Amino acid sequence: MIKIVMSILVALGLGFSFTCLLWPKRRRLLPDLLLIISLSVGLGFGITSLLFFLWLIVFGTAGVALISSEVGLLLVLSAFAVSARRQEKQVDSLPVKTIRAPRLKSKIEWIAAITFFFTLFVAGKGFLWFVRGGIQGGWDAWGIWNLRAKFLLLGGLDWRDAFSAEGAISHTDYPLLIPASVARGWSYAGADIPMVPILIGFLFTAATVGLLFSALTVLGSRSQAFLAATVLLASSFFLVLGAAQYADVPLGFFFLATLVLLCLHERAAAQSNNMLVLAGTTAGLAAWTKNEGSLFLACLLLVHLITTLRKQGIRTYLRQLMPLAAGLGPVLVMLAYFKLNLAGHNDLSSPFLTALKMLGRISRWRTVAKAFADQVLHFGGWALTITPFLALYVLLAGVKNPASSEEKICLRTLCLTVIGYFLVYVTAPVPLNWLLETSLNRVLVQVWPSTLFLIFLMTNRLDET
Amino acid sequence: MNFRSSIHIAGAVCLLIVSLLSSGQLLKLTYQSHSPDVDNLYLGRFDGIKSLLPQRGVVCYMPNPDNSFDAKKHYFLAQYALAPLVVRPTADCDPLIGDFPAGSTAASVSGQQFVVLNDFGNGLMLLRRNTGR
Repeated sequence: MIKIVMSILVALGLGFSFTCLLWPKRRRLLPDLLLIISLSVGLGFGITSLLFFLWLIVFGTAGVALISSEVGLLLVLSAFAVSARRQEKQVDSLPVKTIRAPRLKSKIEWIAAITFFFTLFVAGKGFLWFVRGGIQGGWDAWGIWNLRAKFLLLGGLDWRDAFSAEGAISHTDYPLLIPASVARGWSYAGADIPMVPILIGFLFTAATVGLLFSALTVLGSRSQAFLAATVLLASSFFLVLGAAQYADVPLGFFFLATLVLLCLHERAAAQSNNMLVLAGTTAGLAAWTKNEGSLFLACLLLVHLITTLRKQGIRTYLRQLMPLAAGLGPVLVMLAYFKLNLAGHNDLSSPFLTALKMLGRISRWRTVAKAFADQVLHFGGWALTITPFLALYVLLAGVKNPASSEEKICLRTLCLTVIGYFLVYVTAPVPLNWLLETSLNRVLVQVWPSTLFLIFLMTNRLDET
Repeated sequence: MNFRSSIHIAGAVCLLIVSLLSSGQLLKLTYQSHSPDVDNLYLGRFDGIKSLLPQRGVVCYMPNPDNSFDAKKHYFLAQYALAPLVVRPTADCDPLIGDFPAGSTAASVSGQQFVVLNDFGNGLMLLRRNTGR
């Protein structure tokens, strides 16, 4: 157990140091601590999974030397982070409201806080219950992610057998953030024990809730943060997928992290572009988690290009693109290496002409639209369907006007990603009903935390009306 | 408190109530007992056979002949249990693993073109193709 805890602490430490190194100098760390810790979970597992994969490519097998190198890197990065933050005198983070008021201000905030802590308790209990129901996780966990992890660690010099066409190993084109993280944890533990992927699933689930709560506290208000986090925690299916060790929850985390960092960039733009470096990294890590992440990344870059060029001109666009690319670049290089040298065929993409033919079939559009509408209404394992209540809330609270440039980019990116998902379904060369039944609810979980973030960010705050 | 503020709070309270209902439903679920963890039990069946197989490379796998959802699932579980061996779901190489969890006996297999090298019980067998040698 100590070895597993160490593997997690090293990953979180690397994520924390990396985030602190890039966190704008004029922002104090302490008020943003929950936000930074939540980001550190995803960034930590992202960085260490990339290092693990790089290690396999260069040295063939992972062992004690990898652990020593990671600890060494952690010390160096921590030293850099401490020294970088000491260089500039820290002053108050005036442009951004942070967690400053320890007291709850109103009755509704009290009620929201109590409800939040109750749902948090139940969610924790529920998560454990789901884990006990199947400690090996769901089909995708043992059929894809942890299976790949076994090859990466136990395969020794033959770790490339993970992508072998000899057997019937499925989805060999899926990226490696989760498999490499699990294999890395097993290499610390010295055995392929179920506890490692369970803890990774738990940390991503908890970090998503922590990130949503802390980001809305910083960017909106605490009552909005309580509301959003309560709704997320009460979404049973989100917990089910986290406990089942599916990659949809980590992917949802990276979507959310990217949007949060873009919004934070707007507040901190006068200070530095470092938030964009972090946003580039998290967007890249989304693509390193699942293929849907590549679609999200493409949508983000496209929306950023169009929105920024139209509103702020080419200079601003290029000034923003550079830090974004700096964060994105290293992840994309590793992803490109994987896709070009190891990944198998993507079984959800059709040849261009076939895709065009499928786009011309109205019945497919109708089937997909019906499934989307059905899922949007009956999504998340709720006792009462949440969608009408959220719509009612938006109607009663009112939308903040005007939305900022970054908020527009986030909203458009998310909408375009969902449209992209829709088109993938329409053109997928597999039985459509089967595909929709087995994946659409999971796909919606990927965008659920980001949707809640944008709803509660863009509606009026409870203390504003 | 003005009207706008009141309806805003009403919207928030609605969301909290729906969330509480959902959490209550989940809480109730957590007091129910689990059915056995069948996937974990299935994986445990392969513990004995691993030591008799090579550490790396390809092994063949003969699944339950009915092309059912369960048979497909059992193949993927077998692949997970035996990784980093690559498990080929055809009976055209040695060593060959017979996986008949419904309870086939060694006799029903050995009469065909395979020789049973080891019967682990629960329908799991290590086989060799009967090439006449």
